[in-house]
Amino acid sequence: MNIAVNKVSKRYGDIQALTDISFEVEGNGCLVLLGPNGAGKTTLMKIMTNIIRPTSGEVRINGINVREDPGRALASVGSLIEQPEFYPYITGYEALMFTCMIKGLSQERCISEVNRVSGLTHCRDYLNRKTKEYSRGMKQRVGLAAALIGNPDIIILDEPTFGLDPNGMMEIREIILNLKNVKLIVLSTHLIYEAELLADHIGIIDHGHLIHFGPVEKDRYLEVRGRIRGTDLKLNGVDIINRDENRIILRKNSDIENWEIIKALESSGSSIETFDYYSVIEDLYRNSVSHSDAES
Amino acid sequence: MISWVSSMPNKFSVAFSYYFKNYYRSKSFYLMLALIIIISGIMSYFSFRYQSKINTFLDRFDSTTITTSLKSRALDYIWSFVLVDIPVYAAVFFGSPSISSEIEDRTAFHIFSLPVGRMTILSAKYAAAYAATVLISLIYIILEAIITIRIYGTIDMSSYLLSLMLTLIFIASVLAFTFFISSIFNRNIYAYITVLIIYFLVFNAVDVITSLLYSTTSPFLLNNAANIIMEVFVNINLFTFSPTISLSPASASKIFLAVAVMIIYLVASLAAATVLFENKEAK
Repeated sequence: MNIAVNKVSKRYGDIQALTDISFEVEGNGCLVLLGPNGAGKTTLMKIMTNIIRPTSGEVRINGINVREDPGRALASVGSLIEQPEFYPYITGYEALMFTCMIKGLSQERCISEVNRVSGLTHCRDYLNRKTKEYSRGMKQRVGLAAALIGNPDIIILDEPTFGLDPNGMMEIREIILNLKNVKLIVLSTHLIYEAELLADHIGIIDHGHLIHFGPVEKDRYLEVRGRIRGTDLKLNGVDIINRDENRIILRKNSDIENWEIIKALESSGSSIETFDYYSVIEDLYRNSVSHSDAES
Repeated sequence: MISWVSSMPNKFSVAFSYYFKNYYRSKSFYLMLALIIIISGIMSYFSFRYQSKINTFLDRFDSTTITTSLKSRALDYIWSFVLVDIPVYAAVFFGSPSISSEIEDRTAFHIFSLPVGRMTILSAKYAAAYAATVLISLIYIILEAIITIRIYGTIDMSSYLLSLMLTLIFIASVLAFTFFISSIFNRNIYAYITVLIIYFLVFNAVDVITSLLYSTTSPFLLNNAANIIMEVFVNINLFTFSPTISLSPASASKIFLAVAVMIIYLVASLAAATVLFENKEAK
């Protein structure tokens, strides 16, 4: 399971949508592409799935160039790009069967596969209706089911919770959390809390540039609120990232337990009101995007 | 690559069946079906009601040549006169939005990301649209034979089958032409309007100018080539300023020329549509 994006640029007339994007992800886990609206996340995902062609650069999936051999490159990929639309006079069941059979599975296998994914995404009740009758949320669920058909190793999802009700959002996130243990998932969102929940790797895109890419160490950052004492406070096993009188942000650099940190802070005279994991992605996002805005 | 190429026929049949379902369940299909039933009904009524008019028309010519076979061919000519435009409307309905709708209706996001070549998608969609158009046209063509046999007790089967074959070629070429126009645009309405303007205005304008200047029709125009569908019964061409009227069927050379024109439109249009579709982007 490998996706390699190499110096991908995309230009629409006068608009430079993407500039020299490069990264590589391998193995199971979830790469979240985060960025404001219009940053270029969807454009990059469309290039990854052969919906559009890059102006320069290439995307390789499991070593196969998507542009040159989309049939093989995308054989191990399931995708949901933008708001999914299906042919209006086809039922959801037929759309899923078509997706399955195009992926080369036998009719018998497709029947059980459609049954599996429709159960997973809770769209079985309306699969026999024509897709022109579907609401946005229904289409999203069937689109997600189509992405999961054939149990692909790599799943590319563009804002998969868009258009869903709160329960639907939670269900989809739960599915992704389970899948990322055995699949490579690339997901775009502009919701920071979604990224925090799902990401193992984060790529922040702004104005068509990849301004940050790397693993997420969300359980290593801590935010402590209360009355923080000791101007020369030093704690073994943690780095102090930021602090003031009412808040301190720490990064663990060892296997130190949380209770040990609390004890150390209290012994230095601090009184702790709240103790939580710090939103490292939000911090990264704010720093990266504001820096990018300043440069542009 | 080899495994992907070898799986193409299977993917083609899967895609064909998928697209054909979408066509025959569409409102366009039922609208065309209703129209063809109405037109067939009207033609059947007039064939019985004004049967004597054919005899009156043929009596102007040498009476020794007027046979029942000729009368049946004259009736088939009239039916084919109407038939010539039916595939055009069907092709406009089925072909014009074929590619532009992928972008306008955003179905391309799902289809393009599947592990199937765009060539397979295009050919399957074309075959499905062709099947739907032929299905619609066959209702009329079969009824034409039934009514002719009912009235005259016979039908000139060789002319009828030749006309049928030419109709099938014409459907293929006019549909390919609409696919080509559709591949240029990202909006269905532009594709519809452009096909109608080119076929019914531009072609006719060119034909009128050619006819005025050179007293002949333009053989390279698809609408003129399509006239061969009726001229294989009796060689009457009323579309020029110097109309030709002959009770004999069109000559072999005329048939070959018309077929060649249709095949050139078919091949050129499909080639252009393929290139455009391969490079189509769903932005």
